[in-house]
Amino acid sequence: MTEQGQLEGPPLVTCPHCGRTVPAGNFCGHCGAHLPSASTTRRHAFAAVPTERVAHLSIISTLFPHLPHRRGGAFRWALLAGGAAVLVLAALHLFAPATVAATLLLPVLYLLYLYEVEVYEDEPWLVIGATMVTGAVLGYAFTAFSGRAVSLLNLTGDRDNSFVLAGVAIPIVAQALMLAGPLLLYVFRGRFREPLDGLTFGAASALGFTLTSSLTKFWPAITGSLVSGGDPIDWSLRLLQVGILVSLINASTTALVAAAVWLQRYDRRRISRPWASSILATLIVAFGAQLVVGMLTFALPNVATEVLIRLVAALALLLYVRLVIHQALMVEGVEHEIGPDSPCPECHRIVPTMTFCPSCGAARAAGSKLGRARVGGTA
Amino acid sequence: MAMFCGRCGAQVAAGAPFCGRCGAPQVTQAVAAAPIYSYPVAVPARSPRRFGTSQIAIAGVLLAILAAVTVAVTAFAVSQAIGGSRATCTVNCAPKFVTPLPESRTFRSSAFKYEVDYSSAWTVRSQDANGVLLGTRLGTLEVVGSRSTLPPDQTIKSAVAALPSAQWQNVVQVSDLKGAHIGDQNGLGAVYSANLIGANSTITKVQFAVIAATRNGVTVVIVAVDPADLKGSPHGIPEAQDFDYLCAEFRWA
Repeated sequence: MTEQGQLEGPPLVTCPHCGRTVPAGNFCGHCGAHLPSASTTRRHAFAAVPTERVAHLSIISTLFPHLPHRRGGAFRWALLAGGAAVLVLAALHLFAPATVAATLLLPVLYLLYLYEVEVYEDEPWLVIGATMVTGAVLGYAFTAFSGRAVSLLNLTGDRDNSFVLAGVAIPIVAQALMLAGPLLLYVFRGRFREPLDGLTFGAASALGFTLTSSLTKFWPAITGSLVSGGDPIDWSLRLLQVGILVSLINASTTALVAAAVWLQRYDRRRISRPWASSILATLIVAFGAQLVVGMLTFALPNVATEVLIRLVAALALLLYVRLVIHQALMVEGVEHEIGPDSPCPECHRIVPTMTFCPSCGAARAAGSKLGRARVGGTA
Repeated sequence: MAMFCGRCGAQVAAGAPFCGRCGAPQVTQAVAAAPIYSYPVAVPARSPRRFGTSQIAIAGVLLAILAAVTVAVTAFAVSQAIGGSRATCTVNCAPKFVTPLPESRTFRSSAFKYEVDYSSAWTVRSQDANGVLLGTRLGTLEVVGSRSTLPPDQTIKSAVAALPSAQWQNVVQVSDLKGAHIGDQNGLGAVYSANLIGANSTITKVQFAVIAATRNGVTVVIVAVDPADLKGSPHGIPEAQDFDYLCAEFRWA
C-alpha cells in the first residue's frame, strides 16, 4: 500500500443507485453499481469476474465462479490438455481409455476446484458426499435401472415407447435426481447461505451424476477390446458429447435451479428481483432444456446433429447461468459496512472490505472462502 | 460517455434530467464527472496453501489422475483381449428339432413370392414387397429378399458391411453358423458380436446371426439380433430357438 493511500484514503461519494455513502472508485462497494455510468445492471462487468462481460462464453468463470481470475488459467489449460488427450486416444482407436478420460475430465476438475476455493468450509466430506457422491450413486442406480428398458426398446425397434422413455421421461427424472443432493444440503445445512454455494453444489451433483451415468451407458465399450473398430471422428464427436456437452448441460441446469433456490433464502427483497433468477424461471429453463434436448436428439439420431443440438443448448445455458450468477451477486448486502483495507482477491488492489470491490467491482461473495477468512471480510 | 439510468438501467442522453423509460430523476452527473479514485496495488504475497498447490500442480494432478485411470482401463482392456472369455460354438449348433409355435402369423413377399411364419407375439415394425422387420421379445429379426448375384458368403459380408457404423460399433465375427438353412435350402450363416448404440447414447452388447441362401436367382438374407447372453444361450443369442423355427418354417416360391 502506498504511503499516500494510507494517509489520505479514498474520498466518500454518494452512490446514485443505493444512495449510500461509499468509498470512491469505479464501483459502489455496497450495491455494485458502476459509478461512472451509474449502471446497476453493469452488463459490461460480470460480478464474479469484472474483466469479462456478463454475456461472455467461458466454462471456467461460469461454473467455477469462486475461482479468482488469475487462477483460472491452470484450469483452462487442464481442460484443454484433457480434451486433447481424449482426441489423441480416439485417433489411436483406443476408445475405451478415451471414454473413461472424457467422462472423468470435468468431474475431476470440479473436485480440484472445490478443494481450491474451499467452498465446503470445514465440512468437506459432508459437502462432497451430499453433492458429487450422492449424484454419482443416483446416476449409477438410475441409469442401470432405466438402461435395461432403453436397451430392450432399442433392440426391439419400439420407437414410440423408446421416445417416451428416452426422449421425455429419462431427462425429466434425471434432472430431478440431480437436484436431490443439493436440496438436502439446503434443508440440513442452512449456514451455506450464499447463492454461489447453491450453484456450486448443483454443478457438483450434476457432474457426479453424469459421470456414473455415462460410465454405465458406455460400459460395454469400456470393457470391450482395447483397440476397437469404428470411425475415430464419429467417436470423437460422441466423446465430445459425453465428456463435455452433456456434463455442461447437466451442470448448468442443476446449478441454475440450485442458485435460484439459495437466492430465495438469501435475498430479502424478492419483489425487486429480476425474473430470470426466480425459482420458477430457472425450473422452467432447466427442465425445458432437458426435455427439448432429449426429444430433439431422439428425433434426429445423427451424431453430428446431436453434437450441434447439445452445443447450442450448452452455450445458451452457460450464458443463462452467468446471468443468474450476476443477478445473485448484485443483490445488495443487508448490512452496510466499510471494513478495513484488504487486497481484493480479483484485482489485488488494496481496497476497503465491502460487498463489492470499489475498484474492479468483483463481488466478495465470488471470492474463495479461504481468501475471505484470511482477510476477515464481511461479505 | 454513455449514461445509464440508475433504476432501470436504460441508456439516457447525457445531461437528461429524467430517464426516458422509467422517469427516474438522474442525479448521477456529479459522481460521473468526478475523477475515479485509483487504489494501490497490493504487493504479491505467497498464498499460504496447505500443500503449496500451484497452478502447475493443479494441472499436474488432473493429468496424473487421467493418466492413472487411462492406464488402469488399458490394462483391463488388454487382459480382456488376451484372456478373452468369449465362448465359441464348438458343436453343430443348428437345431435338429423345432417346436411349433402355438400361434403364428405369416408374411408373404409380393416381390419374391416366399412365405415365412413368425410368432404372433412378435410385432411387425416395417414391411414392404421385399421383406419384413419384426420386433421380437428381446430383439429384432429382418427377412429381406433380393435378386443378388453374389454368392452367400459375399452376401453375408455385404449385409454386415452395410450396418451403419454410427450405431454398430466393434462388429466382430464370433463363429460360423453350422448347418445354416432357410426353409429346405441350405445356406451359409455367421454369428457376430457388436456394441449397438441406441437412443440416449445407451450401448448394448449384442449378438446377431446373419443367414443367407439362394434359390432360383432369389437370395434371402435373415438378420436376427438379440442382447448378448454368452453363458445361458447357444451362440449367445437367447431367442435362438425361435429364430431357428422361423428359418425352418420358410417356404420358397
